[in-house]
Amino acid sequence: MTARSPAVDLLLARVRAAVRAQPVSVAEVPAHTVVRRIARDAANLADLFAAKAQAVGMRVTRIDDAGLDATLAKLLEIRGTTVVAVRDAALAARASAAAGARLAPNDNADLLFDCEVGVTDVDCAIAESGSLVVSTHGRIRNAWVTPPIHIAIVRESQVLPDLVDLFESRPDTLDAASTTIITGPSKTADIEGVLVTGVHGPAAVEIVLVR
Amino acid sequence: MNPLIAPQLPFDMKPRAREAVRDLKLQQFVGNATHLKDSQRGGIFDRDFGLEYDDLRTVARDTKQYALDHLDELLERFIANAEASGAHIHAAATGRDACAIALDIARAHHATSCVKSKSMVTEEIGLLPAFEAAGIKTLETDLGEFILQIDGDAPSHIVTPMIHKDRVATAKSFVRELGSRYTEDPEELTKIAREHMRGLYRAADIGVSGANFLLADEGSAVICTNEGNFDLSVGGPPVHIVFVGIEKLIRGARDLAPFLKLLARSGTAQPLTIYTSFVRGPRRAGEHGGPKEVHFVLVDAGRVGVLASEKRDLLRCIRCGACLNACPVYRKVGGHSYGSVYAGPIGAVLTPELERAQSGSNGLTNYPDLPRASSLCGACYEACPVKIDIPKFLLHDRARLRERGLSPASEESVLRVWRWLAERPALFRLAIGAARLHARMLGQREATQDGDRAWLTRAPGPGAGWTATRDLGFAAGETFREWFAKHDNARGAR
Amino acid sequence: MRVALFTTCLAEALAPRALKATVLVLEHCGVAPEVPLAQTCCGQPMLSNGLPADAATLARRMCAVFAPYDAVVTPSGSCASVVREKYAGLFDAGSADRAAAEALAAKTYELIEFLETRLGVDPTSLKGRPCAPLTCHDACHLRGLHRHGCTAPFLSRVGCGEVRDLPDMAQCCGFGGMFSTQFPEVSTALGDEKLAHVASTGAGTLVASDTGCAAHLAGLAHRKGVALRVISPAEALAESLGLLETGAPNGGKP
Repeated sequence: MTARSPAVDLLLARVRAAVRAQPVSVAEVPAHTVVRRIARDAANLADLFAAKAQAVGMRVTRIDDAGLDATLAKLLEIRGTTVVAVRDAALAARASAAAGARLAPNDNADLLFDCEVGVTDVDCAIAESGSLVVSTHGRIRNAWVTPPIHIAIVRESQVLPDLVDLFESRPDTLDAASTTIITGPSKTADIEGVLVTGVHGPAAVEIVLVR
Repeated sequence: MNPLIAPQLPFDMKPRAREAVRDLKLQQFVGNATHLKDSQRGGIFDRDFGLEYDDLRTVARDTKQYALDHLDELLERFIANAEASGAHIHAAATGRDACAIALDIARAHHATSCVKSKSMVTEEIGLLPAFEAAGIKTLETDLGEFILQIDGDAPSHIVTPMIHKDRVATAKSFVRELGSRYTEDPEELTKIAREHMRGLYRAADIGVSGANFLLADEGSAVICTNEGNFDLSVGGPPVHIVFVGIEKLIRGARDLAPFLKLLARSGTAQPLTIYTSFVRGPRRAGEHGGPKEVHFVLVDAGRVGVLASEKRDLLRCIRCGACLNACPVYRKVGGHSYGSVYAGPIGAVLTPELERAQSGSNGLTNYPDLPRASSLCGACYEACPVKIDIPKFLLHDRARLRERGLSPASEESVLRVWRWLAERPALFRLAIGAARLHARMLGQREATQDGDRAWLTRAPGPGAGWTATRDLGFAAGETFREWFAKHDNARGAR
Repeated sequence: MRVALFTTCLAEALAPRALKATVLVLEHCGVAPEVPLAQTCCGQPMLSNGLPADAATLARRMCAVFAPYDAVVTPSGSCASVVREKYAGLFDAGSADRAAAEALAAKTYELIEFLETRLGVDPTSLKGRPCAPLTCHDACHLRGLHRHGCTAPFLSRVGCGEVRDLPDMAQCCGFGGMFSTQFPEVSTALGDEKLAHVASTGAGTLVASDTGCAAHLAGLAHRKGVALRVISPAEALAESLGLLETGAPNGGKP
C-alpha cells in the first residue's frame, strides 16, 4: 500500500471525530426490495428491452444470428469510417467484415474522432430501462460515444431484468477502468428546455438484438 | 466564486429578490421550466413506483444516512480500493487546497489545456479562475455551462444551469465569441457548440469532472450525465481529475440502485440519465484509450463540520434539483438570488452551514436572509428523494438568527408582546378588540352579505409590508364569542 | 365525547363567520362543541420566527386549556398542523410537557378532517344544496396533516354544487406567516399568480383552508378591486347545508 499523504490522514482523523460527534441514526442499511421493478424471473425480457430501448430513442432491429452479417452490412454500407470495438472475437470478425473498406483501427483512441460509426457489443443489457452496458474490458474506450453513430450488438441472452440485477449478479461489468450504462442517444434541454438529440455523444444509437 | 452569484458579504437577498420578481422574462423561463419539471417528476414516480414511491425514498434516506453515520469506515475502504485500482488519492481541507492540488498535477504534466464536465464542487472552489490564472485554458463542456462560460454568466440551478437564459442571448454570444453565424435554433446552436469542442477534446492535457457517487467497495466514482461530454472529457486526455465532496460516498454498487432510480426521475423526470458512467482507476494493461492517471481530490470545504453538526442530514443531498423545481420562492426569484453556488431550498440551509464550518464564524452572519426566504410550504421536503426535512432546518436557523440578533428587532418586539398578551386571555381579547376598532376607524367599511368588513389599507411597523400591496380585512360587527354566548344560551334552553 | 372548538387568534380577529359556521356544522352532525374561554394563541408565529421558547410557553397553556376535552376542532388548518407536528418537539423527550403535547396532538383536527376521519361522516349523506360555483385552495399546512387535496372532493360529495379544479393548487399562495411582510414582493407575486388561477376557473367564490391564506388572497383581491368571495371550508359547508345564508362577493351587491 502506498504511503498516505498527511492531508489524507488528517482528513480521515477529522472524519472519524466528526462521525462520533453525533449519534448513529441508521445502524443497518435497510433491505432494498422495493427498488426492483422487474422480477428476477420475468418472462419476455427481450421484448421488454426492445420496447424500452425504443422508448428512449434507440432503434432496435431484431434478427436471428443467421441474419446478423447482412443486417450489419446494410447498416454500414451507407456510412463512412467505422471502428469495431467488440470484445467477443467471433463477433468482432463478423462486424469487421461487414465494415469492409471503411474499417478503422481499434487501438487508437484519437482516431475515433474521425469515425462516423462505432460498433460495439455489450457486457449486458437491462430490460427495465432499455439500457446497454459497455465496459473497457476488451474494447477501446469511448468507441460508443465519440462517433456520431453507435451500433450495439446485443444477444437476447445478455438481457438482465432490472438495474438491480446488474449490481447483484454482474459485478464483473464494473471491473474495468470505465463502464457506462447507456440509455439513449445523447441529449440536452439546456437551451430553453428544448430537447435536442445528438450533443457531444451519438445522435443515433442502433441496436441489433440477436435471438 | 463568480461575483454574479455572490457580489459581497453579508449577502443582502432582498434587492436581488425584488429585481427578479420584476423581471418578466426570468419569471416566464424559470416559472415554466420549474413547474414543468416538478409536475413531470410527480408523473414519472406515479407511473413507475406508484404507492411504493415513499418506501423507495425511505430506503434511499436510510442508505445514505448509514453512509454518513459510518463515513470514516467507508472513506478508509474507498481509499484502499481506489488506490488498488491505480488511482491517486488527495485530500483537500479547503477549496484553496483543492485548487492547489489540481495546479500541482497540472504543472507536473506541463498542462496548458483542460476540458471540464459539470461539477458543482468545482464552482465552490473556484477551479476555473485558478486554472485560467495559471495559464491553463479551461473549457466547460456541458452545453449549458459552456454557454454561461463564454457569456461571462453563472449557473443558476443545480441541474439546468442556464434555466434563466434564452436562445437569443445564446445566439448573440456565439456570434461574438465563436464567430459563428447568427441562429436562434437550439439544434443549430448545439451543433455549433459541438463542432467548437471536438478539436479541444482531442488536444486537452487534462480532463476534469465531479462525481455523483463514490463507491467504497469498488473504489469507483459514478457520474450521471446526458450529453456525452463527460466521457469525451475524461476518456481522451492523459490525466483525469475527479473533484468530489466526501459526502458522496456510499457503501458500494450494492447500494447504488435506489439512488440511480431516484436521481434522474427527481431532477429531470428521466428513468436514468442517458449515461451512467463508472470510473475505476486509470487505463489498465491491455486496454486502449483512457487516462494514464486518475486523481481523486476528496473535498472537505466545510463538509466535515456539517457531518459533526446536528445538520448532518443535509449531506444526504444527491443534488437532484427537485427541491428547486418545487419551491414557490425559487420559482419567483431564480438561482442568482441566493448569493451562493447552491440555490433553492437546499442552498438556503446548506450555504450557511458550509460557511460556518469553514470560517468558524456564524455562517448566518453572511447569509441572514436565507432562512427567512421561505413560506415554509413544505414542497421541498415532499420533493426530496432522500427526505431531508428542510423546513425543520429553516426553523432552526431562524432561532439561531434571533439568538445572534440578526433578525429585525421590531418583529421580535411584536412577537414578544403578542406572546405576553396571549398568556392573559382578557388582555388578549382587548388587544384583538383594539385591532378591530383601529380597522373600523381608519379602514374602509364595507357591508356585505357575509357581514360587515373593515379594510385596513395602511398598517404600522412590520405590517407595512402587508399593506404595501394588500388590504387587511377585519370582521366588523359582533365578535364570535358574543354570538356564541347567545347561541349557547339558546341551545341550553332547548 | 366532549369536543372543544379551537378558535385561533386569526379567526377571532378576521374570520368569526368561519367559527360560527364550524359550530353550526358540528351541531348539524350531532356534536355540541364547547368554547374554552381561556384560549388565545397557539404560538405558531413565535415558532415560525425563531422564538421557540415563547412558542413553548403558549403551547403549555394550550395543552392545559384543552386537557379536559376528547377532541379539539379548528376551521383553520395551520394551527391544527402546528399542534400536531410541532408541539411535541418544543419539549424534551420524556418530559411531562412533551406527553401533554403528544396527547393534544393526538386529538386535534381540522374541521373537515374531523368530520371524515373521526366522526366517519359520509359527505353524500349530508345532502347539501348546490351553491354558486366555487374553487378550493388547500393550504400548504394540509400536507403535514395528509389532507392536501381533500377539501374539494368532500365539498363535491356533500353536494355543494360545482366545485371547479384550481390549476396548480399545490403551489403556495405566498402567505407563509411573517414571510408575507419580510419578502412582500415575492409573497405578492405568488398571491397574484394564485388569484390569476382562481380567475381562470370563473368561480366567484374561493374556499381557502387557512385563515391566513384567506386574508392574504382576499386582501390582494380587494386592493385590486377584484370581486371575489373568500371563505373557509366551514362556511362553504354551512351554506350548502342551509345553516348560514350565502353572501355576495366583497363589495358587490347581492
